Amino acid sequence: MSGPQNPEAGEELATVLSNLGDGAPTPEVPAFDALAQQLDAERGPMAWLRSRSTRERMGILVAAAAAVAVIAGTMGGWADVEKVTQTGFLLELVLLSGFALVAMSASLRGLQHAEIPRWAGWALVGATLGVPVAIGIAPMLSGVVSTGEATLRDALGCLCYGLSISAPVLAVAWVLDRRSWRGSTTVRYAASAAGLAGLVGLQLHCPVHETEHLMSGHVPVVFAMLGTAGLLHMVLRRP
Amino acid sequence: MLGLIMALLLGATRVLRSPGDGGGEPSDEDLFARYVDGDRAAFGVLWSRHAPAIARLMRKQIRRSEDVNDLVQQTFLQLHRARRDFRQGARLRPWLYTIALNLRREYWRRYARTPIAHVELDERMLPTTEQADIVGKEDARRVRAALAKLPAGQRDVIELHWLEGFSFPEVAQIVGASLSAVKVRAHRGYKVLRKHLGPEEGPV
Repeated sequence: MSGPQNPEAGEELATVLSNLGDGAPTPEVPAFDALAQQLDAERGPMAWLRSRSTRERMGILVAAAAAVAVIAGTMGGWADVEKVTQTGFLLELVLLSGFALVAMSASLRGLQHAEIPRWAGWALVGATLGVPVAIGIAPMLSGVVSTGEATLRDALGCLCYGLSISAPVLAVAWVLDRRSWRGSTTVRYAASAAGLAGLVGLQLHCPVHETEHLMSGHVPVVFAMLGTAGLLHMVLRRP
Repeated sequence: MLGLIMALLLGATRVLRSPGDGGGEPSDEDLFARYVDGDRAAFGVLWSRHAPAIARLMRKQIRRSEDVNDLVQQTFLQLHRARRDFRQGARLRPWLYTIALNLRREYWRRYARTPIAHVELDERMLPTTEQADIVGKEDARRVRAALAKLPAGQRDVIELHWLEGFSFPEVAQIVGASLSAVKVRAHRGYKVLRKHLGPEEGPV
């Protein structure tokens, strides 16, 4: 009998299924040499990084994201660092960093684990977009009036600044991912993590916290990263 | 009745063939541990032990043999890359099948198509009498049709549980669902199969 006995199946079905299981042909597979060649090609720094344990790869990605955010922030000045003690601002950073960590973990999940359920994956993407939008409209809801000092040019500057933080994080996530991004959902999670990491750096760096500026210069960072992920997914999917 | 006897005989053969259940053959886990320590030949043994079964799993949904071979190699390549995640006490075979199923899913996602169940049946393994052969072919056709009608979640559970011989907890680990969810899927799947494959009603 090919599988464990199951009272659910019944004798007739058991017979049919058993014949089917053991009757399946044993297909010819290539010799081990073909795989050995691929194993030999697994050399160099990228292969070394990909073969680290998932815990180590996660550590590398978190360290890379933190380093990029700190370096980018230091270069432009940490305008908002004194606000970190404010409860609302601290909550924003904790939320963004928390979801970034979850997205990083999802993007580096090994293939030996079952795939993340579709609903959970989309919930994560929803949070990646929803949390920044909520942070963006929070000043308006709490009655902060726009001073009009921040121009569209400032918003574009912030967007580029945020993307300059996100892009290296996405690149590191790609290097650490063991699977190909062709047909994989991990590109979506990597983009979420990169977008959120970019937003954390941007929130720390930029002193303007008005809804108008946040929605035009900060929040689009995560939308741009997820848009990039969608584009990559479409382009890479082509045979 | 003949089918049941055949199944019992074939099942007994499979049990005797099982590696690592005594008989002096090293277990999959021992071989993998040796490979992680640098013994390339141990990975070759794992390949020869499991690659045909993984290829069979792929062939159930993928026709092109080049694609099947590529996916089998990718499965073992991913196993190689994940070698430092393997913990003592874990079982290797569920790992291998989880990787294989994930890669098969990615394959279909890449081409944005819905897989169709193509369950292969080697006619040489069927009873040799003409009448039994006809019955076997008819069974295969009915099973193919019935399995194809099942939702993917139920089909995966039945394939892994019945055809690959995994226990329900192992199936739960492979498909990433709770034990109770897997049992419910199996129950529903078997119910549908029983409906399609059970004794046909009406005049004979």
